[in-house]
Amino acid sequence: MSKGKYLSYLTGGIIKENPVLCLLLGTCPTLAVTTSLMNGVGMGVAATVVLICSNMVISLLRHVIPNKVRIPAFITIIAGFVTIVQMFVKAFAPSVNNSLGIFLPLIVVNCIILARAEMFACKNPVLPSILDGLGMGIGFTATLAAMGLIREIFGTGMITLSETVRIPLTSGLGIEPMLIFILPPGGFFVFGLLIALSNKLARRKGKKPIEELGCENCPSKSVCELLEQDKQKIDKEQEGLADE
Amino acid sequence: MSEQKKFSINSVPVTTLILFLICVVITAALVGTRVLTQPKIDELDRRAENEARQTVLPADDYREAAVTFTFEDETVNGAYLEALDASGKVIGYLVKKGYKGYGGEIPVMVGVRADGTIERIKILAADDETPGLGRKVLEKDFYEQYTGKSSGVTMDKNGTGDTAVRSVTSATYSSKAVHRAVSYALALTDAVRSEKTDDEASSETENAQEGEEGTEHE
Repeated sequence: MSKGKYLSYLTGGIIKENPVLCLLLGTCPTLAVTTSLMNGVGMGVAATVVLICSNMVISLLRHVIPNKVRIPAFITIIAGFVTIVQMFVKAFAPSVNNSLGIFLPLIVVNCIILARAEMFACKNPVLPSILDGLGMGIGFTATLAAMGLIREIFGTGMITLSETVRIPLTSGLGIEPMLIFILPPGGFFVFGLLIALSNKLARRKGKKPIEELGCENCPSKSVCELLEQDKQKIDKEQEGLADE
Repeated sequence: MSEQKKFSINSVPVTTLILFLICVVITAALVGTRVLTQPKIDELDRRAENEARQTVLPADDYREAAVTFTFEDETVNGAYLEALDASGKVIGYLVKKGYKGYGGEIPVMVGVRADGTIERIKILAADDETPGLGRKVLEKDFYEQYTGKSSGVTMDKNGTGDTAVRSVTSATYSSKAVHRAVSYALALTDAVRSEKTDDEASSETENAQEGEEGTEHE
């Protein structure tokens, strides 16, 4: 196995297949927690830990978990890890717990984790799965950090690293911060702009940006009614052609 | 053949067993983590609670108590803390109460001196309020207004005068929630203090007129 292949598992999640900006997964927590840099980073790190652990365990058990009950099995495993992470955060980083609030336990239904389990971890060996989890997690955290930084700078005029460490940027200049950036509309603005920016960068590097969200990345692919109908339509067409 | 099918990996007994085993293992891991982290979490909660108490009304000891009183036309049984000095004398009262602001509950800790004036209030959390608007109740400029106020304190947009406080601009719900909690605390401590003076008055009466029972507390 070439080293390059392993490396690509890692870097795929950072730029080419960034879970937030390309795959458009995990949008809810992204918009909600990026009101500040530290909130974004905290959420990203917590989700990354869960992602790596769940990818690893699901990959280890991929031959044992029956296909029919894989979704309940994945969710139980993911929920277990999220609860463990939550307990550790409550005990050792209570300020993160207060800032993230309900979004910490909501990592259980973070699309990124379920999607990677369904699309990658249950079909691949352990090491690639761990690397995929790490790569996706880094991509997620980096995106959250970027969004959080932009929104915090424009929305509050300073960067709050902790309760005591604050970096004021506009206070001396007499510029009022634009509050809308830390409210929901601002989240959408920054999100859209970042997607446009990442598409532009991808185009420049010669990689085709995802123009249409196909079914490949959807976690519900296997139980999707629409897909079933499409398949039947294609089958019918093929039968029709065969008859002629 | 049918026996083989019955125990295939996707059959009901096998899938049930595997899911059950997964749950057992996860539960064990959760119990282990809880045993590891719960003492630390409890310690942090205790420390935060104590810190809040000492900030709001410093004292040598606190004693739990409760009183029944009327607030917003309802009879309420309210819990509170008596703040004691080294000799055990009551120097004030601590009341913790939260009302729904804009997004969620805003718990407030109010320290009232024995004479009924507020020592200090502390907004314990405002996580669900809007940053830049409702969250501003956490700022000193707002909550320090309450120091020195007593029953009858009102809230309006300007806060002119000795008995009024100014609400946070464009954050009416959050400000009102805090004000309501403070009013609750003041009503509670008024009830406690009037019971105390009743007790003192009736014990004096008892001393003065032998054999006559005090009628103040029924």
